[in-house]
Amino acid sequence: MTDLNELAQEVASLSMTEGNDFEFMDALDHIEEAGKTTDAEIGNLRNILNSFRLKLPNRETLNPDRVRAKDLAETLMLATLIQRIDRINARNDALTRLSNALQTQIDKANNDANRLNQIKEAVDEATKTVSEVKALVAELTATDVTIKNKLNALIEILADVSTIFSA
Amino acid sequence: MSKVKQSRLMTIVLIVSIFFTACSVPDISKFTDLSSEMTRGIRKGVKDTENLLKAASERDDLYSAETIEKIQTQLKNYQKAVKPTVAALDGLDAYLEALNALSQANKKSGENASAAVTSVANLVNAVTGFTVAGSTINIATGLLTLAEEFRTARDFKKRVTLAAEIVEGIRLERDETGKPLKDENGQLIFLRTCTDDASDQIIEASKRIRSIAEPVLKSLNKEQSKALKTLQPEKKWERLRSWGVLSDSDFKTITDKMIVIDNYSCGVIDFIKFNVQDLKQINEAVSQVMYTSAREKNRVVLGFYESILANDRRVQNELERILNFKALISIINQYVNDGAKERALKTKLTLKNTLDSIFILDSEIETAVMDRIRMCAADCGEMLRVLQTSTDRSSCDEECRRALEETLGRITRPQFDRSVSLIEAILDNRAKTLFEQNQRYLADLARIKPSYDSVNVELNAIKSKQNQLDVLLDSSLTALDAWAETHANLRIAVNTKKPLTASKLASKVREIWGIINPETD
Repeated sequence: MTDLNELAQEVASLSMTEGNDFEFMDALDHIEEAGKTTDAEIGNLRNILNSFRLKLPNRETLNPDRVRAKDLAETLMLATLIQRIDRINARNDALTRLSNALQTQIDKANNDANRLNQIKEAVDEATKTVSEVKALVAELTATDVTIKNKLNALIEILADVSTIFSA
Repeated sequence: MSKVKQSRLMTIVLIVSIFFTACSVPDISKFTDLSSEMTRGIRKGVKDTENLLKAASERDDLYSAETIEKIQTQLKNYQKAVKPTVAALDGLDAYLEALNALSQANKKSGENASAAVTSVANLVNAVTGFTVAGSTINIATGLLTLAEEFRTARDFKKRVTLAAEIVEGIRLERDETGKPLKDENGQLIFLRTCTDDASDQIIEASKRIRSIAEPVLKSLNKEQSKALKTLQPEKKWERLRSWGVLSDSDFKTITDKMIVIDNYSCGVIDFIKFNVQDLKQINEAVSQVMYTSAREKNRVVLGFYESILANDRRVQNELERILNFKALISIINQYVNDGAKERALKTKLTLKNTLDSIFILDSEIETAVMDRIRMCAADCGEMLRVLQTSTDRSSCDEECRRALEETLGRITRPQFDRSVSLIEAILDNRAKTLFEQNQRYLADLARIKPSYDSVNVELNAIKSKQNQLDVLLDSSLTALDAWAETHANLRIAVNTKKPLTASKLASKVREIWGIINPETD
């Protein structure tokens, strides 16, 4: 396996203004060679190649190497892209399982919240009815049969409120 | 007090105590808002990565048709691959919204229950003497039953604890019988096993499962596929084995690999972080190649401009030395006129150093000056010797320095003036040429500057987008950590009835939005 540290040093020592074509050609050969064997360190190799490309002098004699370097850079870019998307995909089943488990908890929490809102609505209803009863009670006289009947009917409604809770 | 009245009062007391217990749930509205802001920022990172791939796939000036086609394929794969990540972010929002709704409903129910209890108490007083007490008790019993059900089976604490295992990437420490263990304060003990190597190991295990499952799933008929869809994931493998399409050894491999994945107990937050780290790598790879290729495409403009700039800098450098030389002559003459011999001698040494610098920059001047001084012969005294003496640290020791000063001291004023006038004439001539060169370079620079600037605008835009996305993704990673920390605080707050703090998450969310909207930061 190619030592990427050595390769990085070789590229670092290249000079855009003083480096000769042989030095650049050799460095590119070494980078290409490393590309065949260092699958796990694709990111490092990409960075080394990028430094190389940025240093490559603008000389016609190096044009074939420029094309080779560009092709290799695109290959490594696509390899990174495929590798990273593949990694995300590989973890997706596990992530989806967790999301589903979380959804179960969300449903339960929403169910709890709805139940509490039911309590609130029931309590509101009861409070409203109680207020009406209180108003009627204020008008109540011991002999007023009509009011007594109305009051009994309201109390029955109040009793029915309890059925909301057990729904 | 009658038994009926005592019973009513007891019921009311029970309702009040239950709803007051419910009021200990912390306020998580701030956490909910911050989480929503955080996930919005992370979604932007996911979308910007997609936009980067789209932009790359449209650069036919930078990539070959073949490469563009491959980028387009990967763009589709990316869009499909990040869907579960976006769904998980939606899940985090939905979870906190549900929890917040629960918290708010709980709080309001407590308040309303209190009001209702008062009303019911008033009613009890109002209807005293009427035969309707049984109805009142029914209401109280209904409330009591419901509140008890909520308290025992659907409480907030339980929701938070169960969700913590899913989102935070922790798991309860249990004894051999499966019972959760508690610490000395009676709190549940949580373990974190989602270690640094989890991502790679989960990928390896998932790939192994897929390599076995995919051909098996493809071999199923329509009825089998339909039947399988209704099952839980763990039941699917058993069903496939029962149909004889999954061998015992493959079933064992799959269940073993599932155990590997489950044993890490990584949470939703961990998985989103793993994915964000992959997005960072995608951004770096695509942006880097795009930048270098764009730079290479424009190498003529960039190279020409930078080359003129470098040459002009050299010309200006030499011109500056020549001007310095001329300035030193005036200073030396002044010292000589003032009788400051010592100072004049030292400045003459500076003059020699300045001339040596010019020689280094321009060998033509060195040759011309040496020739002219050599021809000047006795009229210039020992000036040739002075000029030929190297003042390098390595070649001129103490003795050499003393000898140089002595030689300079022996040069008479007429000899010095004669030498300097000859040198100055050469330098003036050179300065004229350099000045013309400088003017030409400046004119060239002005001419190609618009092209150069437009190339730089393009390059800077690529670089700036890359940096912005990189920083956004970095901040997303730390914000996700802060989210998990806040959720852990929520667990503690629920158990200790202390208020929930989310200041760290708030700071991370501000950081994310400062990156997305720098001008409003």
